[in-house]
Amino acid sequence: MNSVLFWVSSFDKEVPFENWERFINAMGFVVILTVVLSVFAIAALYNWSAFRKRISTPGDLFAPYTPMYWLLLCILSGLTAGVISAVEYDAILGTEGTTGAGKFVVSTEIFGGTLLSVCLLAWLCILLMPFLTPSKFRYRPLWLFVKRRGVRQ
Amino acid sequence: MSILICAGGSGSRILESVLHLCAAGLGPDKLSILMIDPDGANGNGSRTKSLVGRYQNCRSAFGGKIGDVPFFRTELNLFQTKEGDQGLNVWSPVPPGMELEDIINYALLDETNQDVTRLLFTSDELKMDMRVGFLGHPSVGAAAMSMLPLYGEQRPWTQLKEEIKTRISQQECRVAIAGSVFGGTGSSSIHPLVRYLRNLPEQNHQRLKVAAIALAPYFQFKASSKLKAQDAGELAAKSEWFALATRAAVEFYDHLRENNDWDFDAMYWLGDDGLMEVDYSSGGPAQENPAHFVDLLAAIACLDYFAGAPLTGSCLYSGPRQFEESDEELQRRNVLQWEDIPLAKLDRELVWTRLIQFAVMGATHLGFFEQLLKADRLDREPYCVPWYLDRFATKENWLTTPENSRSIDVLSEYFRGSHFPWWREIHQSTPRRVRLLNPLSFDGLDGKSPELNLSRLSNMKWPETPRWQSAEKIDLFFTDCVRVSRESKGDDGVPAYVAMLAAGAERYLNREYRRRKES
Repeated sequence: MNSVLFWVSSFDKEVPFENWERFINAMGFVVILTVVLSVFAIAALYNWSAFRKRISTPGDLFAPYTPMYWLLLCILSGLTAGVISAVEYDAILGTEGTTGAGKFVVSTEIFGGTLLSVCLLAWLCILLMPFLTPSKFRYRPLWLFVKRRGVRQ
Repeated sequence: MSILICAGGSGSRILESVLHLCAAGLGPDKLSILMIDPDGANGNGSRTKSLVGRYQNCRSAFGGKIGDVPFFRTELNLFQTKEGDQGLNVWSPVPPGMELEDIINYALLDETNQDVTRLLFTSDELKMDMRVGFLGHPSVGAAAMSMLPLYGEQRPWTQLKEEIKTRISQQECRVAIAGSVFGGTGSSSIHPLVRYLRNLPEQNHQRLKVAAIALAPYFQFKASSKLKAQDAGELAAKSEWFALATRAAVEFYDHLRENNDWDFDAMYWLGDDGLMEVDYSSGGPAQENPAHFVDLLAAIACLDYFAGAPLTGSCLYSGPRQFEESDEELQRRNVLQWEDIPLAKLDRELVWTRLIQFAVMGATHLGFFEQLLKADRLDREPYCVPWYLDRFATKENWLTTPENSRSIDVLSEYFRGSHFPWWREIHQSTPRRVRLLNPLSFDGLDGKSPELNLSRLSNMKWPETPRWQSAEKIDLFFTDCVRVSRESKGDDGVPAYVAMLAAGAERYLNREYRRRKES
């Protein structure tokens, strides 16, 4: 399990290795659970709002593609994992050899990692599962790749 | 090959309806057209000429390049009165500036024949100004039309003769003569024309089929404008005479049948008991009666005949369905629904589905896509419009180029300036009796109403049904277009756009109209 968070380094060098292993294992589980649930939730919410989005005037086609805003939920996922990490840091590692700075660094790393993972995986999900996107918005999630295609110079 | 000869103002309005039906894909592959009217400048004729121009513009922009889509499929062959003329020419049986007495060489007749002539025509009729038609005097028109064989070596008759001869050397050739029997030009043209046509073929006579589409009265002049008619003089057409003129025509054709002098393979009789009121006009540009459902029925009769309706040499007519119905409202009023359209060959389902599909296509084009294709962002962000990116932008085949924009304007002009106004007139000319399309669904599409409303896209067929209406209908149609865009055929550019719209409209129709009907 620790392989998931292998990239998280211990800022507090005096924390016993076994305790650190226990913390990383526990947090690995939390991060995976958070990522899976978040990706699923984002995909479901994206799908729901994309299919609810209607076109009634030509201008609606060029309006911001709001269903993609659900990807911002990754911030909440990151925050959740970060907060849990901070709480577990104290609970598992105790006060022996730990510092506030160490807790902040580790929580921030887990926050960032979770945020990026959720964002990337949710986006990949949307891209690789075309049924999540209504055909009328087929290329909107892909805008980064297709925004220059067919543009009249 | 099908040939349509339209005589007079009513013939001109029938031609207008025929062209709209051909645009909707109900016409033959090729249609030759000849217009006969001494009043070539009348309002209805000008309107039809303008429609022919629009139809031809659409044909040259995308006709024959839109795969298996039947819209605008019919190729028009317009007989020309002079070499090098373009567009719809109108042949007049009266040379400019001539009066009846000039045509029949009254001055050169011997005394006995002059006496006979004076017995048949009044002196006013002999000196009648025929630049504005025969003014409801079929006897004058018939005299002028009887000279037809003299024009046999002039255009357009040489072209007509050549075309019929070429056609009947290979297969059957169907000719329809359309006009009214209660006015001047139509009633005086039908019989001389059929006589003339029967004498054209030197062989394979049996392959030449001739039908007449004869209109009985379906309009009258408004009481307020009758004074105008009186002011116009004794010779002016009067609607009080219409019934009498029709009776005389019917008796004449009955006489032909009884005496085995019947040259018609079919004769379609159409009319209406509720007469539409129109303003009196003594001809010229002011004579522009609105389209009427009788014109539409006459046009459908023409196309049914061209499609191969069985011919028995008989007269065909259809009474109102109300007498067979138990519905009280139908019994009170003589209404026209899809089921009332008399058809022998054309499939009823095909007729209404094509017309609705075409109307849906036109409505979405005018109400949504036309504006979209003018949006600046379309070429800068083509990925926002999947069908545009897939079929056009990636091939650098932008619909926004000046050339393509012109072709798209041609389509808009046709729908906005001709097709929807025509439908509106058909429904308004006899209010609440025509129950084919939902006239409220044209709001804003005919360029006359201020509001544009696509919420009735699923309710373009009569009756008005609020539960079938929703602002989201254009969204469904747009999705249909995206789904069909990759498979729809059609050459690049505007033809591909039209083919996609047509395929989208077909998909939309199947879901929103056909399934609803089945359920």
